[in-house]
Amino acid sequence: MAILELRDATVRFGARPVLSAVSLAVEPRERVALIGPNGGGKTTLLRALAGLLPLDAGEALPIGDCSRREAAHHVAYVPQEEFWEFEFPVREVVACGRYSYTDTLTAEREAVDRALAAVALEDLADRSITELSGGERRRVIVARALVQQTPALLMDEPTTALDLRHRAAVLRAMRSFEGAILFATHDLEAAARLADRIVVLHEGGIRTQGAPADVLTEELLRELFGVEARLLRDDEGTLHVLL
Amino acid sequence: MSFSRVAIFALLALAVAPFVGPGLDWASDRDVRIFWQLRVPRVLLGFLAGSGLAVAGVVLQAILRNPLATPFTLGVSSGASFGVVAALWLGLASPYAMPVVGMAGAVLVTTLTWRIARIGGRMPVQSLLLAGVALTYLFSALILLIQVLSDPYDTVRILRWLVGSLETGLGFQPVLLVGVALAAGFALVLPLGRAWNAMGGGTDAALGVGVDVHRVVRRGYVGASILVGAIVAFVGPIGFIGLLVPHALRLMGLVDNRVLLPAAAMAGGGFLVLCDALTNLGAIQRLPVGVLTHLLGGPFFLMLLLRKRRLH
Repeated sequence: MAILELRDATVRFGARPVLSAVSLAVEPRERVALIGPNGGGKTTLLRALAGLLPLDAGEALPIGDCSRREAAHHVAYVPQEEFWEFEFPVREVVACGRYSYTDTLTAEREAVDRALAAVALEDLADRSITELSGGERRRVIVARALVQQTPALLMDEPTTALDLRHRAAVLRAMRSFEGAILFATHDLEAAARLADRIVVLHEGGIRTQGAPADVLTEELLRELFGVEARLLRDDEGTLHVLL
Repeated sequence: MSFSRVAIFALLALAVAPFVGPGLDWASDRDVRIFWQLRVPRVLLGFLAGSGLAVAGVVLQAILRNPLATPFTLGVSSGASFGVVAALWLGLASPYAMPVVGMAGAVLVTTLTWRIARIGGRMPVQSLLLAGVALTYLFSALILLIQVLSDPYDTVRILRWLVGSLETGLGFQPVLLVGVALAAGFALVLPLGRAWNAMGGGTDAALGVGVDVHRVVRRGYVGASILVGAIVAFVGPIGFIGLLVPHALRLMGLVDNRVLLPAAAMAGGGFLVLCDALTNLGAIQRLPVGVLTHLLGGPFFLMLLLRKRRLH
């Protein structure tokens, strides 16, 4: 049984459909990468699965039938960027991930410490979120998602605009996460390495999907992005995109 | 540490304030009555009003994710002020009628804002802000219109009332009524500290960790409206406290709303009581406390800002 599922989901912004009757199921512990051009509906699809925006038609399962509290126990969402207005300490931002639990102070502290360790941010626990760099902030948000201890994780471009150090930390956290992950990305190499399946989203619909080796082709990149790119696989099977 | 300092400040302000002012002869029945029937209720009312305004400020800043939001941003205060000003203009200037009409004005604006801002079953923060700001302007314009139409004597009375003052002359009755409103408002908003924290990262961040944002926004809005409506109806729109007390506390490191809310309740109360006590002193006697909150609060806030800058 799927851990997250969209059935014929349609979302419109005004008259413009951003998702058109999209169906997608993510199995437990499956790693699915969502790729496609900007404006293709990736963020909307993730937010729909997280129950963060209402569908104009179709269903988001099981989130559509859940209370917010139940949803937060089932799936955690890492947005591409999140801006904080007040100077909350990093520890409290991460602890907000425990909002829907009734922890003792000690249990909450231990859970937060574990999540911060998973993204190697223990040293910044008492710093203000507003003082952090974009990369550090992204890792804090990943830690907040981990602390929710959900069986599924939705991540919107988790490695975009990160330097190598932050990128490595986020990828490490993703690899060690034991549940299902659906992540939108423009990082095709990371998608090929991490994902069991790649879903290509284009103009609000699923263009194609399958194993990375089957889906990622030079023809597809030409068709989606209008670029002539070469795809090389090295001896270890790692994909390289050459422009 | 900072929290206990705030608590000590509030208790000291409460203990000292009734004794500030012209000396009292404890052997005289008249002076003892002045102490118990004028000074003590005035100090208590001041504490409650300052508490409520500071807490309402924290709540609205959290809901709107804007540190410049004040208890008066969403129009409740201009509704209450309009009620009182209309009562003064219509000759209903009894100390009992004014707060009643003021609270009616607050309820009117709260209901209007609510109805305009609600889309389906939800209350988007942006539409709440827009509806509140639009109604603030509308009712402020009506207040100005009444001032223009009033005779000079009433215009001055209206102006004085709009500055805010704790001189109700009603003994303990306002203390009880504002106290009940505060109990209701605090019961709605104080338990939501962690939810306000989660909302610091925006609506998606809060929804994602399980906060029922629409319910929390509605509850915060109603809670803040009860606080502001009752307080403004009795003592006028005393400025500064709801904006800068939360800021001053944040500069002292009290950012977590679970601590900030009770700290604001104490610091806001203590600050207003202290300002009002000073208006009992010689040269500035009978100065409306609303003037003094700005005069003292501004420099105090600048001092905190400069100190923080030096620390960095």
